[in-house]
Amino acid sequence: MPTFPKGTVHAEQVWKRFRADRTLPLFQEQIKLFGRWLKGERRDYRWVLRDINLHVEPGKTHGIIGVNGSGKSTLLKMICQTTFPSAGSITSVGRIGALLEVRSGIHPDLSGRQNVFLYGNILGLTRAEIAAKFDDIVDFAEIGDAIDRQVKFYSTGMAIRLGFAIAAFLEPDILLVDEVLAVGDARFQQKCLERISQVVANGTTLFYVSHDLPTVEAVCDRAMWLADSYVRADGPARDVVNLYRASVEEQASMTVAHDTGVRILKVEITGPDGGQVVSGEEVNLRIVAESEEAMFGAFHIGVSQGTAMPVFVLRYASSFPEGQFELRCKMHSLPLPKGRYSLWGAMRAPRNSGPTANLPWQPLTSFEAFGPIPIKAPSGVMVLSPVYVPADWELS
Amino acid sequence: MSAIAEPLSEEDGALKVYDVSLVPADPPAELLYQHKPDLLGSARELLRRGEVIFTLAERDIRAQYKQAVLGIAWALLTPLVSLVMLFLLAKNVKGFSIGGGVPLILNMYVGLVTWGLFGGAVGGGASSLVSNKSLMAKSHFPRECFPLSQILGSAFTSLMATVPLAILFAAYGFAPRSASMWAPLYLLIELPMTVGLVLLVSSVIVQMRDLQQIIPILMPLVMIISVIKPMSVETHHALHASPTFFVHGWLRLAYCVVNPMAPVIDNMRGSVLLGFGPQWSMLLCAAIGACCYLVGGYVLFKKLEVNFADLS
Repeated sequence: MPTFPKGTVHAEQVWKRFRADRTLPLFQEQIKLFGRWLKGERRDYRWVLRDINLHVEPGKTHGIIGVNGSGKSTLLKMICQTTFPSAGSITSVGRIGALLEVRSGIHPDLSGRQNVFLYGNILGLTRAEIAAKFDDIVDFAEIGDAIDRQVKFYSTGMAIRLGFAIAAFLEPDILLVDEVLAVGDARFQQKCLERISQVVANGTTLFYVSHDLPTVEAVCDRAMWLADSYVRADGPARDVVNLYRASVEEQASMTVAHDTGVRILKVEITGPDGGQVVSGEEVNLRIVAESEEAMFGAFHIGVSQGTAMPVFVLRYASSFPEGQFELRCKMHSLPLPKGRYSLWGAMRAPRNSGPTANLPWQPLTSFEAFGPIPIKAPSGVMVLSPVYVPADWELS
Repeated sequence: MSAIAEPLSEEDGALKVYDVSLVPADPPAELLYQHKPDLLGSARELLRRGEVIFTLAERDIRAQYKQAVLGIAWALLTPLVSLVMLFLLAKNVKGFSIGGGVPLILNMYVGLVTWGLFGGAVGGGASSLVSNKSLMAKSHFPRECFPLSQILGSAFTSLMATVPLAILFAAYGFAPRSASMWAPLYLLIELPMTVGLVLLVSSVIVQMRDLQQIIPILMPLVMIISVIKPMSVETHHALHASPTFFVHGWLRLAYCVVNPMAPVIDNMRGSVLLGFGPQWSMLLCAAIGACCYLVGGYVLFKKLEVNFADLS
C-alpha cells in the first residue's frame, strides 16, 4: 500500500454487504439459522455497494448523488472508517470530521461548550488547539450565550449550526457532509457553502452527499453517481449531475399514471422555422391530446433540467372539448442556455368543479437547446436553474 | 478496475459512464475481507488516543449530574445515603455478631467499595457501545475507549465512596491496619479483571442484547457470593461470617482463577480490617485468572469489532 499525503481518500474495489437473513435475534430465528447452517446452506447477503473505485486528492471536493437507498451513506461511513468494507480496501489519511446527521455525536445533556471540547478531543485536537478556535465556532454558529446551555434545549437550527461549526472549524483533513445542510435556513446554507469553499481552499478534502443537485454542482469538482449499489458514473460534477437528472426524468416517465382522463398523443417542440431550439429565439410547441370528457380547466407546461422542479411554467386556461384537441404555444424568446431540458405538463380542472378528468404533472418530452454555454458561478455559490439572459457589459 | 468504463473522451478525469451489467454479482473471493485482529497494533493505537477515554469519562460524569439540582454533590451523597442504609441494616440484622473487634458495617463497607469499582464498571460498561451509537457512527477512534471510559467513571465513583469510609473509620475510632499498604496490589489484580470483563460484556451485548437483561441480575449474585463468603479460615473466624467456600485445596485455587474478585475482596478485608498479609497462592491464581479475562475479553472485543457500527 503506497503512502498518501494527509487528506487523501483511496478506495480500491470496495464492496459492502449486509446480512439479508438477519431478521430478529430471537431464539427461534437463531435455531432456524442454525438448522440452515447444518444443512450446509450459505448465508444470504445483500450487497449495498459494489466495486467502488475512488481516488480523491487532498483539497478536492467530491459529491455523491443517487436516489435513497443507493448506498451513499454507507460509502461515507466507510470513508469515515466507522464501518468496515466487506471486500477491498479503503484508506482515508488524516483527521476526519463528519457531519452525518443532525445532532449526531452531540451529547444532548452537555452544554454547547462542552460539546465543542468533547468533539475536538475525539478528533484528536488538544485542549489549547480547540480553545484557539472556540470563538470562531461560537461566532459562526450564531448561538451567543446559548453556548453554555444544554444542547437538548437548542432548536434544530441551533443544533445543526453548532454541529456544522464544530466540524468545519476544527480543521479536519477530510470533511464528510451528508445531507444536513438542507435543515438550515437559506442564509445559513449559503454561509455554510462559503465556509466549505474556504475550508477546501485550506486543503481539506470534502465529501458531499446531497439530493440538492444545485449545491452539489456549486460545491463539488467531481461527483459520483450511485444507483442501486452500483457506480453508474463518475467525473466532473456537472456532467454527472446532468446524467443523473436525465435518469430521474426517465424514472418519472415510467411511473406516471396512465389511466387518467386525459392522454397526450403527440408533443412537438421546434425552433424558428421548424428547426433546432435556440437560446433567445422563438420556440413553437404543439401538443395533441385526447380527453374523455369536455372540461373547463388549465393546461400547464414547464421546462426543467430533468427533475420535477421546472425553471419556468406557462399556463393556458380554457374549456377543452371532449375527444382529440390540439394545443399550440409560441414562446417568443427562449430564456435557457445550451443544455438538455425536459418538458413537463399537467392538466387540471379547477378545484370542486364537476369532471375529474385530469393529467398529473409528468414529463412529456425532452429537447436539446443550442446557444451559449451556461456561465459557471463562483465556487461555493449555487445556481438553482440556468437562465439565459442576454446582457451587455461596460467597464469605465 | 473490473467494471468496464466507456470514457467519453480520452482526457484524464473526464466523465466515465459504467455499464453495471459488467460488474459481477459477487466480488472475487480473494478480495473478501478477512478480519485478523492485530492486538498489539490496536493496543498501541489505544495508547496513542488514550486521551479520548478521559474525555468520554468526563463527559459521562458531567452529563450524569447535569440536570440534578445538587449537581456533582450527588457523587458524594449517593455513597453517604447507601452508608446510612447499610448502617440501619447492620443494626437490625441479628445473628451476624461482630467479632475480631471489627464493626460489621466496616466489614460490609470495605467489601462493597472493593466490589464497587468492578461492579460499577461492568454494569455501566455493558451498554456503553450500544448507547454511544451516534458517536460511534461519526468518528473513528479505538472503540475500546467507550467501555474503558466507564471503568474510569466507576473509579471516580469508588473514589467518592472512600469519603464515607473515612468517616466510618473515624466514627468507630478504628484505624486501618498497617497491612493496608497491600491494598494497591489487590487493586492491581482487580483492574485487568475489570477491563477484561467490561470489554467482553460490552462487545457481546452489541450482538446479543439478552445479556443486557442478564447482567443486572447476575452481577448482584456474583457480588453476594464474592462479598459475603470469606475464603480463608482466619477471616471466617475473625468475622464470624457465613461458612466459607472451599476452605482448602486445589478447588479453592481453581475458584480463585474463575472468580478473582472473591480472593481480592477477601484479602482487602483481611489486610485493612484484620491486619493479615496477602495470601499469595490465592492471589497468584486470581492474577492468572484476571489476565485470562483481560486477554480473552480483548481478543473477543477485537473479533466482534467489525460488526459494531452495523449492529449497534
